[in-house]
Amino acid sequence: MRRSCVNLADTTNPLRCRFVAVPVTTCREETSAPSTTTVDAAPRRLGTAVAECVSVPIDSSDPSGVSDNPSDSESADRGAAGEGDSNAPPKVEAAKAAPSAKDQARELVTYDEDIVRKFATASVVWGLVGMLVGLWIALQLAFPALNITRYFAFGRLRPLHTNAVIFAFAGNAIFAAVYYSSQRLLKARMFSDVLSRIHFWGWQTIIVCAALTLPLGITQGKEYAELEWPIDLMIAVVWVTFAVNFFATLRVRREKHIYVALWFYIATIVTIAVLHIFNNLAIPAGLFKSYSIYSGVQDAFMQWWYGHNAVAFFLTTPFLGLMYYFLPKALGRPIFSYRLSVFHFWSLIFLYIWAGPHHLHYTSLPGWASSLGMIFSVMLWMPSWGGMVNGLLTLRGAWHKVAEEPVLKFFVVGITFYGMSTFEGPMMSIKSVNALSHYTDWNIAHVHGGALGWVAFMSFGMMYWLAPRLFQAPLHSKKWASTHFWIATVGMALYVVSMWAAGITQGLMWRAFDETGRLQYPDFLETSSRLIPMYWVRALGGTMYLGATILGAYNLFRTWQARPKTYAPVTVSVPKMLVGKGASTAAFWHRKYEGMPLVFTILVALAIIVASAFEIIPTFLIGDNIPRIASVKPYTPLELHGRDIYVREGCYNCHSQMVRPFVDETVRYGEYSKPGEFIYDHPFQWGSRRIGPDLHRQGGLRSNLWLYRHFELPTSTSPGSVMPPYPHLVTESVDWATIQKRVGTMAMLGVPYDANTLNNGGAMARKQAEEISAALVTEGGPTVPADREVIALIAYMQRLGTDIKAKPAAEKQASVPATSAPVAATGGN
Amino acid sequence: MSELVSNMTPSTMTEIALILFVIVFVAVTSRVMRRKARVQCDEAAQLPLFDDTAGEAGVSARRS
Repeated sequence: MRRSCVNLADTTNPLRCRFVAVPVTTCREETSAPSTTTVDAAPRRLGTAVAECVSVPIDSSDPSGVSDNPSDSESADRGAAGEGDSNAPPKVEAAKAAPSAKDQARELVTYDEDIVRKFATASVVWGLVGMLVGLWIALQLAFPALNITRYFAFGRLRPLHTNAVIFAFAGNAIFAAVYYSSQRLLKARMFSDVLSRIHFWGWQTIIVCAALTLPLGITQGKEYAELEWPIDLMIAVVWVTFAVNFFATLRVRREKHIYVALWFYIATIVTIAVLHIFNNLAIPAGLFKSYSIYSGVQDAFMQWWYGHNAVAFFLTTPFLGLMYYFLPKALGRPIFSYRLSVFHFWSLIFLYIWAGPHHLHYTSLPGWASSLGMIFSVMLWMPSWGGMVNGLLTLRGAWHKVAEEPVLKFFVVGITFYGMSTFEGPMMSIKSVNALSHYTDWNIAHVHGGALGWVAFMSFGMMYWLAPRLFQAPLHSKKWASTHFWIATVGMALYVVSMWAAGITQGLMWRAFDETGRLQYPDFLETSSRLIPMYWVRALGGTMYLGATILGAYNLFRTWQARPKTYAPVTVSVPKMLVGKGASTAAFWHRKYEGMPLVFTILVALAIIVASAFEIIPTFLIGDNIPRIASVKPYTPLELHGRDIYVREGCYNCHSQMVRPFVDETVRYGEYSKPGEFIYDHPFQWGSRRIGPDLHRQGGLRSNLWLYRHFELPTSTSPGSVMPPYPHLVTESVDWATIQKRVGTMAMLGVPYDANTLNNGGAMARKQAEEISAALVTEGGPTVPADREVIALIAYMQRLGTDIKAKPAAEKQASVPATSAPVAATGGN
Repeated sequence: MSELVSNMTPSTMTEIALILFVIVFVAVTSRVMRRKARVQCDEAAQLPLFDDTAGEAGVSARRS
């Protein structure tokens, strides 16, 4: 049977002799000798994988992929006996041909392709779900009637979108990349198939738990860390499983040098573990409720140390690792500069950790932390562009290939967007720029440039490259892949540009003063209503992007449909044991350390921990960072419950609670927010977006009746508002016993409740609720039973920001001021 | 520990961190940019291309 080989640089044709002992650019006719002899024709060197030739017919009418070649039939037999992926051939097998001296030093390894197929498929499926939810919430902002029931209101749905696209879509793509590339770079099958499958099924279970709990309002109220403590524990277990599997594979590798992509994977695994554990430290107050051990300023700091480094070490480093492997594979040439990758890696992982405070400029975070975050964020531009430059210059002399190959189109535009986002990010980290951009849609534009451009495009490029190899069938349509690319690019451009316009428009409107020295737009609603047309454009862009993704998913599905009945195993011949220490002749210290993965991992951990410690330790140990205010007291039990409702409904997704020390903000909202006001806020709720106005000085600003009407139907008090209605707050009852328990948990966290509150919290809450209920009637409102949730939420709203006006010596009263008429607003929101 | 940290101003800590980083960065860069390192780096860069295939062109480019 004829065995022909085609150019291995052809990225989409899998019907080639995959394991050829021939030069990359030429092909040879089959000789009558078995493949092992063919393979041995070339001199072998230590550390080189020698391929057994698995012959695949180029005649597509023969789908079996089996040749007459005796040694090939061994692989085929293994494959046929395998009956699909569940009975994978044995991991390692001695060469069956008569062993030569060279052969005795080698053994066969079969890569686990099935796990890669699983993760890749999961990524595509969850990507569609996550993007669909994204489109839904985008449409909700332009068309609020889409806030259907409490479960699918914007506040509960937005976290579902962010978690789905980050952890489900990007997460599964990362794992597909890691499992595929690590095995090949290490020349070893994954250490344990069982751990691989625990990792896969565990991760999908976590995603399903997220999809169920988030719409139910079960949330910790911290961005990208919303999942409650039982799911956090699951994440920790699954992550450790992944880590053990990965590091154990490193140990049994057959290639001494740890390629740069693997460094990025190591950094990801180590840092995500540290971030996840420390940011999610909380005390449970029930099976589905917990309170962060941190509060106020410290919680904000921990949250954004985590939040920015989730971007760094979940959305950047693993995708850089992906780039360093899949781009050379797709191009058939090595990365532009390996040396550049060495120092950009170490710079990146050290500098990134510091960038967190740039999410908190001009808030109550201490100024020194803010400045540190800014400086290091600006420095971060350099190692980030090191990665971009390395990727793009790999294409020098090969740019013509981009026009022919959709995979390369995705990679090139993906890396370009990485460059754009990592320039825009440092720019937005500059305090004066941030003064305009913070809380606006500019942040949304920035995030989506990175997410749609870098993360998603690199994932799609990888999927298109992987699919023919994983499914052992040609890509169904290169033309469709190209169409996917173009529609997604246009959609992305619409998205980002409309959000830039929206962000800058709203930011400028907030700070505009007229010629009389008053706010140009005193009514906050005017600044968000102005953005609606831009929200429609964004929704159009998002629709195009989702539509293109659906086309891509269908293309991959059709490719999968053409798969062979049984997948041929991917088997290579590798050295039996690791090259001895004396093998490399040059004393290259970095290579020496890379040959010691444990040491390397420790150095990575040291880099991120030292960087973290320099910011975190002063935040916690320097008391001056958070000056105490004597008049600030804990929330009453009813107010605490109201706060829990605020967190549950995800109000922080639209409302901030942080008045910045700017003239326009103090005129609009009142006194700027002091760090000492938040010491009992477990978790903090400063927010990062103002689709609605800031609420920190809300207390006493409106009557109870106004607030009641606003929650029941926002447009009744604020025509044109896009806020969802919350009628269930008027019908659902409070559980007084739960209130008592939660007060106790807060006391455990150090909130100084007195003995009376600790013992009678439920009764105190009920009493305060009855007073508010009576006040509602006095104000001309309906009779609302005291045990309704809306009463608790009103109590919380009326407390916000009022402590600094209270006399320190005064006893904090359980009742709240009930006003019969709206208090004249300073800024008119 | 608390006293030590309290007596340090944030700018001191920043300076220490920056100096540490610059030292590490210069060390890494200087080692990597040595002539000997180039050869090993060029070889290492080939790794993805020869992970499950072996071509003679690639084989001859890699030296032990």
